[in-house]
Amino acid sequence: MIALRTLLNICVYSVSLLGVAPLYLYLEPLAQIVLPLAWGAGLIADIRKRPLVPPLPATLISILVFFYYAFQISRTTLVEPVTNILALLLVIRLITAKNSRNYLQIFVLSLFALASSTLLTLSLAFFIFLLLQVGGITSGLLLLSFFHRSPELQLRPPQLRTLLRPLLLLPLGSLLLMFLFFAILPRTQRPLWDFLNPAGSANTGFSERVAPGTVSSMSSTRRMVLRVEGPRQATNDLYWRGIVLNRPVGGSWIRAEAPEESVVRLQGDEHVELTYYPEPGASRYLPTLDTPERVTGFRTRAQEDLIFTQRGHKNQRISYRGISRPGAIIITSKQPESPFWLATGTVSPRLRQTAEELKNRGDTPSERLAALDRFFLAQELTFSVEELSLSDDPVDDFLFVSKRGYCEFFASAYATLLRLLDIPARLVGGYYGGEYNELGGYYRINESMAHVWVEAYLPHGGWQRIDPSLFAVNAEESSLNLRNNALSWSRQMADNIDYLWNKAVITYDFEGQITLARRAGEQLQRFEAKSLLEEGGKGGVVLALVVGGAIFWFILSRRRETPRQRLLHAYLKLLRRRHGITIHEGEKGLLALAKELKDSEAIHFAQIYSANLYRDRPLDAATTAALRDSLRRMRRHKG
Amino acid sequence: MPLRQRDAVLTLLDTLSERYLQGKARSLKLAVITLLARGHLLLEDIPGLGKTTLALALARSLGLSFGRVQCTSDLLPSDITGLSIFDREKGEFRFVPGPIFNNILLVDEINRATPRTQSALLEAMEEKRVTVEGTTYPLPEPFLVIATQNPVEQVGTFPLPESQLDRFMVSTGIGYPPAEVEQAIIRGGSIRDDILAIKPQLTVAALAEAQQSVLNDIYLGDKVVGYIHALMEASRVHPMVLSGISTRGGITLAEAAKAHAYLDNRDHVIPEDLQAVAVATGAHRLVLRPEHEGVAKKGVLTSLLDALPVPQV
Repeated sequence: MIALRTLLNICVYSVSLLGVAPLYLYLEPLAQIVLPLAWGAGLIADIRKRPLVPPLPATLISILVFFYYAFQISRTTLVEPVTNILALLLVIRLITAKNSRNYLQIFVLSLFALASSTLLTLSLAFFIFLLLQVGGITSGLLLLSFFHRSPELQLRPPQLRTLLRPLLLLPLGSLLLMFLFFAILPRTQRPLWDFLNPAGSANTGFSERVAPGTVSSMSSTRRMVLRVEGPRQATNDLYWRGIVLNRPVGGSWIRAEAPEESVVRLQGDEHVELTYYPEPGASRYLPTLDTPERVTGFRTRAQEDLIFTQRGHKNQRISYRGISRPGAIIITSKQPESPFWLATGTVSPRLRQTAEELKNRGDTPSERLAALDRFFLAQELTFSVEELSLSDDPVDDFLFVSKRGYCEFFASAYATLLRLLDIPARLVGGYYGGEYNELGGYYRINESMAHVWVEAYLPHGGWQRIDPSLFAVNAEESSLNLRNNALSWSRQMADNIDYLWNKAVITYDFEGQITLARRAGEQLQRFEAKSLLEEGGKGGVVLALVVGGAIFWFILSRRRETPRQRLLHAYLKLLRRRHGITIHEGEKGLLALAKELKDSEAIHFAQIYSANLYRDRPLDAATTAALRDSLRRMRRHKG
Repeated sequence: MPLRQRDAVLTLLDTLSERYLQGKARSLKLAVITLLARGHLLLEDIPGLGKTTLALALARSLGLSFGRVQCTSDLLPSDITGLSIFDREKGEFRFVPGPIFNNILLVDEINRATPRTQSALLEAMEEKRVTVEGTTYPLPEPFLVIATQNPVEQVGTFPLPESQLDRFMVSTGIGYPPAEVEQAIIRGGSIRDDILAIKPQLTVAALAEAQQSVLNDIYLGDKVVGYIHALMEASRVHPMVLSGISTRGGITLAEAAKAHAYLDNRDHVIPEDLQAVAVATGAHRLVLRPEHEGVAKKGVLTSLLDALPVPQV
């Protein structure tokens, strides 16, 4: 015997816990302290069946709490007071006596609390909490409908078993509905409370300005910035183009309006099509595999130097598709104009002299380029992100004094020298490398992979990628080379789940809905099995086949049962329910079993059944009716 | 249709097991089943547990004639079947019937008789007639042999070969009675005299009718036949068994199951009937492999029966 109230309390306490848990970290200290205490106190009070707080004071406290937080609400702080109100109202309901109305209130408050947590965080945990809570609430509501009629109801094990099936089926139904609504309900294009998701902390990796020599050591985080879905690429092609910096100002390089030139074509390898899922908030520049040909996506904008930016809000999670030709040379409509592309920042006499010497070693740009490469190698530069010297003229210091630096030093020194050699040059910032997730088939790129390299314009060639960091004496063993390390299997798995969640749920928006609707429409118009398969509806078809197969199998297995089998199985099931024993077909003689159980109704059934069966008589209508009648009586008069 | 004489048989069974043969209900029931199915009974147990009492009580209560043979190694076949002796007065040979010409014959310690005598007896059991010096004499109806053997004493015995064992429908022990029953028996002393005073409860004609009823009125369905056959098959392929239940064994199983159904007042055999008689009827028919000779045959048959699915649809 188990009290209905106990079951209901289990539902209520787990549901409230699930509702508040994701909010907990964002609550005010008062609520953070009160919440666990009240939860525990309420639980104990309910076990002892002595409510802690009488209804009137509870109502008064509720009103006080409501007004206290209501006055804090303003245009900029809306969510925090509301979440605190929700949590505290829930607390008060938990510690007072509960009638069916109060139970309902707790369910509603818990659901709201969980829903409000999505305004603060968008992690996968929400989904799990939601699944559990939906299960808890639907079961709770079912129990509540009984509770409403007779609050002191006690359930016997057989009754409990009867209840169990709807308790399991109902949440399943609500989940199916949930998935349906998720796919079709309209949603906003922008997050409602985006001020709650402030832009990420200062960028340590990728930045929109290259300024070597301003810090003595670079610490970089492994914060994920981008996932790229697509086939695996050659390691030395993994340059992710983010931004082009074209104007030196003092010791640093910035992005400025360049003289007009348009890209005619790319000259290089075959196409690679990739889908990009950037983490929101990092930068509005959208990285693409170098060299990108075009990018398609709802909120992307292309710039002349093959740089793509995000339109709309920077903190929104988006995805885009891009077509690239790895390592291709960019052919432009005309030669870069000299004054802009040959301008340099401050140049030390030593550097200018070096440039003059290099200039004399060759007449053509390619000869000078070769001479510059040799010079870089001869300088024996070291790639390092630590123990960097601070300097006003970082290029000079890097090339002739300290000879250590990271990619920004290499790139800015190289680009400056190129410009001094009358070769147009620019810096390209982005990422280099990527951890390939074999399970999900995508690259994972984090901030520590931020990188800067150079593009030089060679006449009759076009813009061409050169990575001066590779001239470092320790290029082989430096951190540059460690960027392609594979993740451990477990980390790949965890990352994969996060990736799927983002891909399937978070970035699923209006665009996804449109695609879904359009595809459905197209397929309805020309319904052919072949086109269905081709149109990428593979998943749908497979799913439909699986579901259809399951239904078919279910029907078939039902039909495969002869009437006799159906009767026997019903009988054995009833025995299980009445006596709690599990007997399978053929395990024991029917009559002996019934006699053993001293169940007169079961004996009656077994007698009719075996008399019919063992006398080789067909199962006629009269016998069937008698057997059904016996089963019905067994069902009615439980144990 | 009610089963003929079933109530009378049941009354007999109840009277015997309650008044005279306390604690032997199981072996008594098996004995009655054997009688109804026209088989023979082998009681395997140590002396002094009431084998003779059982046989005598059965004979008395049925109003049947009772004969007894105490087997020894010098027992001759003619000591059982009887022999022709010369009648001087009439000047011809006259056949003097042996103890076998009784309705119920108790053969005590059958394994002490020589194989020659054993086979003569068993042949008579099977054929239900005796041929002496060219003349065939039919045995009385009903005819039931209750043979006993002591499984413990092995010195100077001629154990029955398996082929002979096959002729007994049922082989069972009697076992010690429960403590309080045994105490009551001790208190009351021997009841041999009481048994001799038992009035017949069933006429020979009624018993014959009951036997007819078992033979003709009980329906043996295909499902149960399949079940019996499955048991036989299983006994033949069991790794411990050299030779399993023979076809004759199968027939006997079916007959015993029918008699069990009759006692249960059912006009058809159900698998439970078979389960109830299978060990007593089937176990002694199994010949185990030499390396497994120590294993109890009853255990082997029980395990076979447990593993066999009961036909239920």
